[in-house]
Amino acid sequence: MTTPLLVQILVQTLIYASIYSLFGLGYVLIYRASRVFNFAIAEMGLFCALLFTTCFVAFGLVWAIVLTVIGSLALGAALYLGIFSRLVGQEEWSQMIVSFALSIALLAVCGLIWGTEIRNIDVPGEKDKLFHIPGHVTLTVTDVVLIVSGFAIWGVLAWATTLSRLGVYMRATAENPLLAAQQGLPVTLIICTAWGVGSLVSAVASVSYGIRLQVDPTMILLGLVAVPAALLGGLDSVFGKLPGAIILGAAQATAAAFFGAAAGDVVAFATLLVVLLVLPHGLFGSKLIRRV
Amino acid sequence: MTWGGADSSTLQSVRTWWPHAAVVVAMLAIPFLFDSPGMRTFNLVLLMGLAAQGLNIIMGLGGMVSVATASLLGVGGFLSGHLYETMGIGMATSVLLSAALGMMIGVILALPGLRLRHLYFATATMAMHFIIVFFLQLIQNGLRKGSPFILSTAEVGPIAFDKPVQWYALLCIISVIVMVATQWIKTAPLGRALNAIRDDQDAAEIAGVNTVRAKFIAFSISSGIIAGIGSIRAFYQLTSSWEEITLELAIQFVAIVIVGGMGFSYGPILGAMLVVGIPDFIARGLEGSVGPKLGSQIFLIKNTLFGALVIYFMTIGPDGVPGALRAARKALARHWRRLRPGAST
Repeated sequence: MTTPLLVQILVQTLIYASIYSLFGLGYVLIYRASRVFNFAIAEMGLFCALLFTTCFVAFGLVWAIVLTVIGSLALGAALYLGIFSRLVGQEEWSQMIVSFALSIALLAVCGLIWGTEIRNIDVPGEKDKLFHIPGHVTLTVTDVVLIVSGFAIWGVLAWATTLSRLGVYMRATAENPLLAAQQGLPVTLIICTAWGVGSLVSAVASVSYGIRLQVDPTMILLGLVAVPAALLGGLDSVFGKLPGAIILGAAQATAAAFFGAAAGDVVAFATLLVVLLVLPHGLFGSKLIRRV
Repeated sequence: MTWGGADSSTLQSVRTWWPHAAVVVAMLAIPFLFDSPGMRTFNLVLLMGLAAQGLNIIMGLGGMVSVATASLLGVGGFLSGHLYETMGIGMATSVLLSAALGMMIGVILALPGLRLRHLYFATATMAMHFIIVFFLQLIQNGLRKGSPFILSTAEVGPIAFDKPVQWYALLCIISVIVMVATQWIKTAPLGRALNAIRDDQDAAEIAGVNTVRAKFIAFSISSGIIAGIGSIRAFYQLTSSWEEITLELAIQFVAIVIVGGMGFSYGPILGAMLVVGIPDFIARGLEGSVGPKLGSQIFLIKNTLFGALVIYFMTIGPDGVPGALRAARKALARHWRRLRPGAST
């Protein structure tokens, strides 16, 4: 393997990893607070990215960012209050299938509102300004921003969900909602916050991917490939998201470099299959001890 | 709150003849009530319901949610398409061969099922879905240079199946056969073993159930049925291509089984009617009244309706529509008792 190819794969790995860890954080935040594995994360991200394109054309960059942040928080909270709060106490799979149904409906609604054509986001400034790094590999400003923001958000959320007060409240709510409520915790507010933040990180992933390339319905595949990243790091581990995403990104970038993009996605899922067969709870997931 | 034992909690506990008679009458009446486009909707419902019936074995009885159904349909369809194009093999033989191939793939599918549970298992089957579809894509590119397999009108004996009504009759007969077979599996030792696995796998193992064997057999039977239906589906559609094997299709089957009531024999058909049939009818109605200018919007409207219906049916109760019906019947009985305090019910 030549050096440029190696560096190219490395750079691709970092880009994939930051996108997947963002989506993965979306999955895991919502799962930790409400025990719902929300397969609709990718579609929620697409919705927010489309919202961003519309606001961007109408009001400019700053307002687009503000409105998309508000919109994504509201979307997450509304989905929880409107749908998933009614399913509390149901089996895991029935909540899962509702999120699947939601993902299909949300994708169709996006199509009905915005159409299915490709949209570009022309952010003013030098978003395509190139950075040259040794090995004849170039990075655009967008790539660098994406990688840095991906890693930074992971760091902040890993801290916020494990050490901060909100994180403790969230864990308490997920562990036993009734006891948490009796302790005086605003359970609904905490779960809504988790859903809102989950929606927000997926919006960040989708919008930054949209700025980098384009916004169109096929984007949801990114969110789906992030499912292996979420499970690889362990379903309930926020910390595990980045290592999981890096492993997955590396596997995908390598496969894509040698066999083409379609093979990349498949290798991501094959990696998941292999890892789950060896470690059923992922790399950093907490082991469930079952008593009979 | 569990899904309950199959005999206590499903409508099946009604050991009377009239529900079955009502279904038979409805099946016979439908061809007289609907025209050709309407019959196509019913054929779609029956095809979806049949494949969901196969999924119901591992999901309804065994409690293992699999999203690999669509890819198995694709496998059956591809094998039929290839056999038809190269050797001119007809539907009856094709269905059997597809089922045999499906059973073999089912053994591979059972492997993650031995180790993983619940969400992790569902995601592993999702991985299987993408891997199988990728191979289907490679096969289609290799054998057909990317264009879909083309089949011609199915002929079974002297009958050529080229009218929706004929297909309807054939699919009804197959539905009855598959339904009786799943009913038999449910009461057979395999069904009991699967129920035990669904309720508590560890307890089942301790009680002496050979869970490994039960899972292997259940997966191969289920996958065999689904691949066989995939072959029929290919002959019904006259084409077979990897592009139509989407994750959305796979999710539809899971939704059908859950909405229809897990483990309930009529469940898959009922579920298919509710979440596939209703959107299809509404979309056809819209197309008729608004006109063809809707174009691709029809597909989006159908998907929106599907999602909304599934969410609605899931929020009314955890046991799907049969559960809701049961609750309604209980409420009615209570009401009835209150009206006539002396009567015993």
